[in-house]
Amino acid sequence: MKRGSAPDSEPAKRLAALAAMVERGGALTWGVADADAFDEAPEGFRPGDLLPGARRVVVVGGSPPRAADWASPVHEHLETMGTSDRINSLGLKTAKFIEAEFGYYALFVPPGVRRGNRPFLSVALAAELAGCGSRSLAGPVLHQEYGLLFYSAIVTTCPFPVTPPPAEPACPAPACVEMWEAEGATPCTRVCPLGDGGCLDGRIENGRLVERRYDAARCTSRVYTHWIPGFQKGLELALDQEDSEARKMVLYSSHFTKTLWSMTYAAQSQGQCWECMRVCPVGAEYRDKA
Amino acid sequence: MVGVAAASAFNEFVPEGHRPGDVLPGAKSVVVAGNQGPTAGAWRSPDHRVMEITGYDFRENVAVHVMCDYIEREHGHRALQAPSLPTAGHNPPMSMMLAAVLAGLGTRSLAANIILHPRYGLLYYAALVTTLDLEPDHPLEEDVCPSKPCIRMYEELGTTPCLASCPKDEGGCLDGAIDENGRISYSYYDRERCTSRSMNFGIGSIQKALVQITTEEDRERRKSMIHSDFFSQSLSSLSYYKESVAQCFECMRVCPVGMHERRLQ
Repeated sequence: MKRGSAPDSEPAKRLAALAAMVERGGALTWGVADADAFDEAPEGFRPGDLLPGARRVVVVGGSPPRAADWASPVHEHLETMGTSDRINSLGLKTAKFIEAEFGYYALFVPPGVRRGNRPFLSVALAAELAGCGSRSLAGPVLHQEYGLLFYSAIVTTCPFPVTPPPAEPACPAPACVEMWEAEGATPCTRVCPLGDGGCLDGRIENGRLVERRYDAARCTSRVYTHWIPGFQKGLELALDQEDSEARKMVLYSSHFTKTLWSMTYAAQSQGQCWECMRVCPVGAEYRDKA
Repeated sequence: MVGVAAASAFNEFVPEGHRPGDVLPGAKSVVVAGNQGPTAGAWRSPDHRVMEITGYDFRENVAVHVMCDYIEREHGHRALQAPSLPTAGHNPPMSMMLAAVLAGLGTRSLAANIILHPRYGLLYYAALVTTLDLEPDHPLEEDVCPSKPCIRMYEELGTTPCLASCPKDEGGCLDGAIDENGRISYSYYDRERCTSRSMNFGIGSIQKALVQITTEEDRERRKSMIHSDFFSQSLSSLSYYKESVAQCFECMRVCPVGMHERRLQ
């Protein structure tokens, strides 16, 4: 158990058993959020909307790209990120564990989207509320030590003790505060500036993040050049061709082929832009090995 | 749950080409793994889409691969995952339902012929075929379906919970009868109708949508069809997230077999 100093009560024992299980399963971090704390999520997208009587949301985090993935000069390699799949498998395993061991309902939050490209529950918000990390200028929830992680959430009726938030937010890191004071930018806002065709902007005051601007639509169109949006775009382009040979070329093109790979079992090209995370100092030592 | 069937036990029930020995020459045994699928929490969710998304629930396939590795490594015999997905029409090379029955894990039910385990009810099955000669289990001696409450309901109302939830004569998929000995004497299952309801998203919906999209002359309408929620969800169901694998669980929702396993705190 990495965090919390709960007494020798039944909920604390359950939490210890849960921690042992998820850490054995490969979680680099985990936490428990109060299901009632999701006020900022709209109605229909809160834990109780998914599971009546929900009390807690358990979050497990881990399976980031490895140092070697980051080091590869072949940029297509980092796109080949099926690593997030492992944390989803652990999420489901955790839900099953809670039901089998403790006899409470547990619902694995599906990793896909509901209508309108909206997730069933914001896993990023869950990770933040569970104390796994804090929001960053770049967007992802950053873990204090590891930086970028993938997360999976489980809504449950089991009254685990809630884990506290981190004492200090991971973002902005001291190095970023220094850079901000000297240059009015941070590594992530510098690499993808909103005012210069990028996606990120923000403001730091007294060493704290006070404002964040993020062009989600622009970011999505860059991060998901393959996968489902890529398939839709490619199909539209193919069908718009009057000439059957041109249509055939689009359908057999590298781009369309890669898009099909990314959508299917190979899980390739899940994300194509990692530049804001590449320059982030939080967790940088884990992305840099000999 | 795990059970073992003798490879030769399939001969009586399936034609040549669909037997374990057709998949693996020299096959002696079939080991079947059954897994519960969605959690009790997912069954309880008022958001029906949560139950649609069961791809990660198919852990029985993982279990089968672990067992295959074990057999080849520790026992020096061949082992492979039994092919269970259709290769032509709806017919798989090997029936997992038959494998589960022969391995003693359950019996056929009135509800779409789903194999019900006596304790857990609906399970998802995967199997391996091996040249390792294992002592087989045997089919269950007692039928799991109909259960006692269903027999009582049938005697009083002429129907069962599953038949009442999806009656053939009212646009549903199921029909059946129970004889005086409390056994299924007749069952009917409209597979085509069931498939069209339980697979609103997935391969079938992609094919259906593609027919509509590729025959749509108007460019703007075609664009809106391609980028619609429906088509996006259909594509998601094909993707590695394995979303929306199945959409209708109503006959199983009302089935008393295994219901207590879904009742938690």
